[in-house]
Amino acid sequence: MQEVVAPRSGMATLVLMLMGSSIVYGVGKQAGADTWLAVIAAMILSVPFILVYARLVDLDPNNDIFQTLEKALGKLVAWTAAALYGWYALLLMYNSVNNLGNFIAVAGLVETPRAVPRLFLLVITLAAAKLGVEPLTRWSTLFLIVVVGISVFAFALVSEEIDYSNLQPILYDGIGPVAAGTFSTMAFPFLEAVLFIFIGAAYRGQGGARQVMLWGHLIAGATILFIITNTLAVIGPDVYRIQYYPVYGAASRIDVGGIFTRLEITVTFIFLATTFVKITVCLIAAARCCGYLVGEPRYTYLLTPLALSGIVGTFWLAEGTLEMEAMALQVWRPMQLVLQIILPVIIWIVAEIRLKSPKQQKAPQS
Amino acid sequence: MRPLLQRLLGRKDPPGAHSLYFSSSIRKIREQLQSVTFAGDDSIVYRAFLTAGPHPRECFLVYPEGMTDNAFVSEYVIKPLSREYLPPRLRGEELAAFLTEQVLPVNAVEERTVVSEAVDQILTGDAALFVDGCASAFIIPSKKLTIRPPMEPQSESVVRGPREGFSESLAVNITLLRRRVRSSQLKFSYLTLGRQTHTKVAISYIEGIASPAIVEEVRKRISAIDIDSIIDSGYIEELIQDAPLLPIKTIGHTERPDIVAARILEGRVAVLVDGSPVALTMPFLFVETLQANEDYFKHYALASLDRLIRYICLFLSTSTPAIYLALVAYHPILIPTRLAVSIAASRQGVPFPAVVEVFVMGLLFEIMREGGVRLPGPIGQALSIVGAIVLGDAAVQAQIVSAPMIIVVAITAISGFAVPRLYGVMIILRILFSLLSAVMGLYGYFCGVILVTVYFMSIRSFGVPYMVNFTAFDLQNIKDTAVRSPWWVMRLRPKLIARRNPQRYRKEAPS
Amino acid sequence: MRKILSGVCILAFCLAQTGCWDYLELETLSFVMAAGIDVGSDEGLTLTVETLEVKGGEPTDMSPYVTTTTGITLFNALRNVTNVSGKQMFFGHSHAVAFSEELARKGVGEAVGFMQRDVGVRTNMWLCVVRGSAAKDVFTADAPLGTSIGDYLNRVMMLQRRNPTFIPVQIWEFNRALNEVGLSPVLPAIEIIEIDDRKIPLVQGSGVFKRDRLIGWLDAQDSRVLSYLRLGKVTGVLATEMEYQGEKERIAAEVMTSRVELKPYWENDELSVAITVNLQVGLHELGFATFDYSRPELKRMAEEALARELKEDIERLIRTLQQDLKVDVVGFGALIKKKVPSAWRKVEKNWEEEFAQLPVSVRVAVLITGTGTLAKPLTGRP
Repeated sequence: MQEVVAPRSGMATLVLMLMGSSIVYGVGKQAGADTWLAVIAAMILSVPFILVYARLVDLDPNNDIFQTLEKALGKLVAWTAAALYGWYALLLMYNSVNNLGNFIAVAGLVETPRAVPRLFLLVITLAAAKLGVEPLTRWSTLFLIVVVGISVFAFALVSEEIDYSNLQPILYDGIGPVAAGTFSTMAFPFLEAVLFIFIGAAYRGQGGARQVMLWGHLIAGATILFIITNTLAVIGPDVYRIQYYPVYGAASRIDVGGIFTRLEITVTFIFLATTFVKITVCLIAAARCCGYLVGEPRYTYLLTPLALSGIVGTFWLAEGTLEMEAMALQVWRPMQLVLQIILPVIIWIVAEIRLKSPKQQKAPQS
Repeated sequence: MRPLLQRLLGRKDPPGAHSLYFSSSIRKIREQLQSVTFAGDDSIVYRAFLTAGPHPRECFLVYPEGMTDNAFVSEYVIKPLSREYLPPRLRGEELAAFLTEQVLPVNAVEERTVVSEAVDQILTGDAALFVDGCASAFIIPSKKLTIRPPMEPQSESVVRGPREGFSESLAVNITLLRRRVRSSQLKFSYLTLGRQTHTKVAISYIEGIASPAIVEEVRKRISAIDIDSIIDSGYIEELIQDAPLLPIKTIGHTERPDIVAARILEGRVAVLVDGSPVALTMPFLFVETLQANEDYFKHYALASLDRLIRYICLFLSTSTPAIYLALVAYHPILIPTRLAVSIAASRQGVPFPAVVEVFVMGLLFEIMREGGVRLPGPIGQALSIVGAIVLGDAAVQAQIVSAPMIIVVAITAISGFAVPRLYGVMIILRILFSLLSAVMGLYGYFCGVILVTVYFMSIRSFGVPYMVNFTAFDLQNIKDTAVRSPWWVMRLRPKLIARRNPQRYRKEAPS
Repeated sequence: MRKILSGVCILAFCLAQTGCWDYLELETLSFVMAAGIDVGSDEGLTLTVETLEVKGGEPTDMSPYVTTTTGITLFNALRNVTNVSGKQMFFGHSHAVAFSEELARKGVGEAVGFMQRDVGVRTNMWLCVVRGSAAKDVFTADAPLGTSIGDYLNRVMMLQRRNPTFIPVQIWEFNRALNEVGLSPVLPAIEIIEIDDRKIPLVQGSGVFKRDRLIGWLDAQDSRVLSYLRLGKVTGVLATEMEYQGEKERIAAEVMTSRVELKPYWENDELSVAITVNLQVGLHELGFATFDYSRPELKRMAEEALARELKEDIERLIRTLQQDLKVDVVGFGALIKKKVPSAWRKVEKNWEEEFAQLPVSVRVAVLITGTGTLAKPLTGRP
């Protein structure tokens, strides 16, 4: 079960995962013209939490995360954490599938039943998850290059339309919207890295989770910043705010001499590739958590039912784009606060104290 | 004793092996060979003669007809022996030593006491000599091999480069290889496979460069093969390869000794099979399907350009029909206006939807290819004329298919031939992508691409990730992937295969 | 094996049972080249679409074809076209949409919003307003060179740089101007004129909008200047009259490089905008046979004449906007918001009045850097 992953591959996976569905929807729309500031702030403010996640993975290099939890906090806490994060991973998976499914339903396949693109997505995700973490991470190293390449290429083609004066005036509406944008950007996407803890076991021992997660986070942040800032500069903050899919909107403006036009389909590929990674990570995380719950560390047999639950789950979660937007504000915010910030920090502090104290350290050895 | 014991244990005798060891009586030996081991086989020659002197001894030679050098046997075995006097007290081991050391002027005489071993040797073309009073066979190396000279393999001809190819003889092939790598580090280790064919297989590698783990893995997988016959190396290839789901090659094959030499110098392992001119090399990575040996003899810039073209061909051949279908049927907005209008114009009056066209034309092309591939030259030409005129021109004229579709099929076919090693995979991927495109347009195609690439990423060839060159992005790996860098840049061997002794090219001679 | 089989079964089931929903055949589409929207009878709209009808065979015959339908809304009218033509209207390759003046005065927000929202319509379609006649009439006019009207409009818009008598606007630009505070939209105007018995839809001048309603027009000259200010560069030909040795003649110059700078100032609670135009031009046409531009003082004279003309043009446009139309189509407001947000906070509430009072100073500097291939006037002797 323990697969060894090169740190660089793990990093690439994290980058793609964080980009997944955040660049589809755009982040921190509350901040308007200051979205870029919100992204930078969120990126910096997330770093301590990312380090906490990495530390949780690194705590005990020999065990998997649940055994660490069990040892440090007792079986009940470990069980609760597994249940909560399994649930969260599953919801996030439904949510991401929904995001992309809605995008496809709106931007392309209007008449196709909405279950079909979702089914396709879930099936490729399932296949990838069955093949394991290691191929996924290596796939990520290759496609990170492709994704970054496509975005740079797309914005190079639209460079004539890029007008950075659209980012002005800075902080016109005060710090309030920026703060709102920052917190929403932290919760979505940056701190979704918390799920990486549950697939994290794979790259341990080769330089540690800290290196992987910190660098992955920073690269993801830089890439998202690049894409969002340029999108903002192309379409302007007012349109950025009202569009569901601003990056797609920016890409559809590509028109170089009437030859290089209609290239927004390349952006669709980015959406698909990044969301795919995100869903796969969520699926694996959910399967691992459920695997612990049912007392079976081999999680692969749980993948199929969990993935197929997505066909129903996505519709149960939200119908259409409007409901998605509404739910993002009402349901996700408190849940994210608990699962991304409060719980990991508490677990970490308690675990550090318990594991450091000599009594606890002796116990597992004997 | 042994046969008795066997009978006691109730074990059935294998047919043709009444007794495991030769008896000391020459009559019994002859009887056993003639009426049991080689019973019913008329191609085995028994040549009996007597030695000279007062107590002539009975001797006889056994060899398969046509495979043994008659002149050699009569000159160097029958002649000296029939003039020799063998005293009657000379028996057993003394006799054997006397014969091999003093009588037979042959470079290597081997003594075999086990029947089955001697029989194996006889079947390779050696003559076996039996002398009365000695319970063993003397194997005289008198093979007369009629082998094809090493000529240029037709399937892998090059414009520039060596013209030698492997032939059907293992010994010759090993020679060809050793001539290129004159190093004591070049090792060949033999295995015999096939319950009936007893085919000799050589695993070849360079010690100190090849990773011992891979060598061991190859040996393990080959020894695990339990099959009655090995006619060609293709049998072995199929039995030991990874990823059997798609026809993806995880084992390389070639008829060219220069390629094998280059590969084992990179730390790979080669497997040569007696009777097959095709050598297997492993591990085999995805990049290699896009490399040609000529790349390494050409100027690196030209070779890199060729390689780039091959990558483009790979994309075109797998994706052209799918993308055409997706664009025409789902995303006409993505086609430039003029082109969209002209495609629409050419589709006026065509009775079939684009998706049917794609699959039918694809099928027709594969039929033409399969029909033509084994035909001799002139008939093949006739076939291609029929194909070109009937399917190409007339079908468009009659408005059965649209002209753009013909172009799509042509692009697919031509670019497919540029990467022949991937042809099988490409057909399957083409169909898969087209199907997905037909359901969900480019979204389906993208899903297919993601699925296939993830699957490729998960493949390993003898422990080495198949796509390693596309994921481990360090300079060293990339140098021989997308481009063919000049030799002075490719100073180190590919990392994941050859962990030890990585240096390939040294700028200055070692002092 | 069972897994593979079940996978194949699922795939086959997907394909056979449900089919390809969005699958369409190219030849069942009608490629819309341009559309015109008029106010119809009883509160509805009249939609006129010009499609390119293709006939197979060699060589391919493509000819424009005009259909008109009505509907309560644009979307409704659009679907009604299908019943009239028997083909699905495909807007993905459409070049332009023309609104009639009547409709524009009632408001185009509904239609533009629909086009921005619908994915089948590309947001880089040109928009324009038809001045003085129905939008329908544009498509019955004679397209120059026998192409479709849509194609013709597209080409004219693309060549705006060479003769900027209007400002080309795509759907997204219009939409953005609608959304952005301190910037009012304009659309190019189409007038149908007769040249030699042929009715030509001529694109020149601009329709000025307040929110999504047309409130007035700018003529070709004003539109040219507005184009300089909005696009931030001076293009095309500058022409003026000049007095030299008692004669009044015309000179014309082509702009080589230009810089147009709009700078807002906020001093002593007083808001003002300075427009600075720096031009390098090539002198290309001279009314005088003897005007020796190689002499520095004469060259300066020509430069000043050109600068004065342009300055007056700009000032006239500002006057028209501030006094007659009272709409900020240049985007001074948006500029002030970006550059001096503190000032904008004060004037944001009643920007309309503030705009009418806004002091605008204009400075134009022209430098003649080239004179084509001739170093001296045609008759070199003075």
